Amino acid sequence: MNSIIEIDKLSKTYGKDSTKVEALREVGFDVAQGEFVAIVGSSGSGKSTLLHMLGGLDHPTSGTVRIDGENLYALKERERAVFRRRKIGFIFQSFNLIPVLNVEENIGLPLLLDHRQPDKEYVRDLIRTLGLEERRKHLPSELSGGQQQRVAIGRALAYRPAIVLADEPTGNLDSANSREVMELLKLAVRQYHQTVVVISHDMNIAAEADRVLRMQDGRLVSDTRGGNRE
Amino acid sequence: MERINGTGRSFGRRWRNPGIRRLVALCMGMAVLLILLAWAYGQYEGERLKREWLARDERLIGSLAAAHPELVSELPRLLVRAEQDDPEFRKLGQQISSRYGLNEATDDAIFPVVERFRGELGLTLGIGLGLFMLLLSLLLLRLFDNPYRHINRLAVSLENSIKQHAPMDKPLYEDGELGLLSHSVQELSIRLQETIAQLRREKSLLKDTVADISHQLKTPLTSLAIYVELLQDPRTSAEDGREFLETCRRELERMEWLILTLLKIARLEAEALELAPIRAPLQDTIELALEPLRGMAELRRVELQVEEPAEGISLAHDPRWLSEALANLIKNAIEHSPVDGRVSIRTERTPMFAHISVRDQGAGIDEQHLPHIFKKFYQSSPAGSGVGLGLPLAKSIVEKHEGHLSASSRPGEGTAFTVTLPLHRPSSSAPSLTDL
Repeated sequence: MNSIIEIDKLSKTYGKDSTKVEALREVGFDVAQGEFVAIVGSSGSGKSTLLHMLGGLDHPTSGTVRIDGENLYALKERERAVFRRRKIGFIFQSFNLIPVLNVEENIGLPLLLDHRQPDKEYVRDLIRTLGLEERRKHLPSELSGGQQQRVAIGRALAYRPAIVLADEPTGNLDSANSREVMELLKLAVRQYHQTVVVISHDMNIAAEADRVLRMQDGRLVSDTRGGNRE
Repeated sequence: MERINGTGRSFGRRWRNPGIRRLVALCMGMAVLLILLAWAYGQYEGERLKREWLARDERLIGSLAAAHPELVSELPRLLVRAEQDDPEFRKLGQQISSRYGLNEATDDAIFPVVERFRGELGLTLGIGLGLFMLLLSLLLLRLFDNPYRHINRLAVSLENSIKQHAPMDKPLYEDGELGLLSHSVQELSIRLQETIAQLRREKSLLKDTVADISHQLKTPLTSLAIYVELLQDPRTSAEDGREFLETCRRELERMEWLILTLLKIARLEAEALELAPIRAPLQDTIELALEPLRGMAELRRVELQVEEPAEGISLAHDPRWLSEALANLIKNAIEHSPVDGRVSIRTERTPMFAHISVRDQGAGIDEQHLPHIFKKFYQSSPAGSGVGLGLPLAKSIVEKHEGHLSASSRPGEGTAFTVTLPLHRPSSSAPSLTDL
């Protein structure tokens, strides 16, 4: 299997001299297509910084990030924005849905941004799979946290991105909904051959992944493959 | 999946194309430039005309003053504010001028000011506008060429991708139609690669299956041959013969089960088998799986405990196949249970999934074996009676239902297998990435 994410000697330093903080120190790993990877570590271990780097949301101090063979930080700012929209799906702890758009519109948003008409059937299927059929005309404020996160997952999957990055996707959810979200992400990996990278401090969540990367003080300290898949 | 919106070429949609934006900017810029240049040139020409006019008037005043010194105070007034004079003066002047051949038909050569103005204006405007148009067309050409360059790059990278059997490199990350075209083409090339990879996987799967079958069947076949030979031997006693026949029967049964299971897995994995999903209560399917195993559980003194939510769960599935998967899991759990142990089968419903867990109180699976238990012919402990096909078969069936099967275990605390099935499966099964 070819690698969809290739990270090489990635470093990020904030501040200068005495206030210098090394958030990432020469982190390097590859992720194969279709893998479900969890990045764990305590807060301040650099896992969020790493995810931001993966998503092209921040500039590394040194090192390269390749996604689908494309050197993310060699692209121009505008190209990177388009790349992000088409290739990377984001899921955040705080859902980040557009409050004035209903479920259907929120899910179709990435496509609308590209002036593409979402295929009605595909979106309907997606909404069905997400168990939101009766709520497709509801606004985010009328949904529970678990439902909102499912909408966010739908939005992340709408463009069928190569990779899905989830930043503490279950951080605001109770354990039943957390499990649900993780199952859904696993389903996406299987059904659409997607690659998912989840960061979490919850070991129960991480245990669901095929592979667990542990971060500590900006370094990758362990890389273990779980037992759920061959 | 998504459709590129074919209709409604709205303004906003056009505006997203960087080429269109650049074209508009160029045209606006050039228009402003042209206005400015025309204004500056008009100013310059007016100034020049004024100076030449003045020079001519000065010469006129000079020569008139020399001939008629008494008119000196009148002359400049006459020449500067000519419009306010009596129109009769002009008529008189016209009469006098035409008497000497000075009228509108007179050759320009007589009026050097007019001649120079006309000549210079024509030349400057001609050259200026010509150069301007040339510049504009060069800029337009560059702009126009841009999409062709991108299309060319796209074509080259597509050709490379076909030659090297790799997904397309360097697509265009841009808004607008070209960017979308590039994205779609790249998507196509990725799907093509996926399809090729899947075909390869299926081929190697077939090879493995054939190897598995021949390996697994050769051993019992060899022993069967030996037993048959022994049976044919007249020296074999009747008692031994009965025992050999019994062994043969057991071996044949085992082989039959093996072949059937292998065929099922192969058909499931090669997508040669379609499920017949119906919407049915999950509990009935679990009962269907439990029924043939009750005897075995009693024999081993293992208690089967079924827990289910009061309202029951109903979802679209193929009861025959799913019960087979569950039966394999339950049988596996019974085999690994201690005497007087308990196997609990719990169903649970969450908003999107149904979970069926089968938990035993056995020795558990060692961490080193856990990643491999779903592999065919993998046996982690001698406790199991099978040959290591039950779990792979269960996994294949569950995945065919678009669910997944996972195992968690701690040595000493037993093992739990969990089947997770989506409740809301799209009626038409969602197209997979490799569906072209």
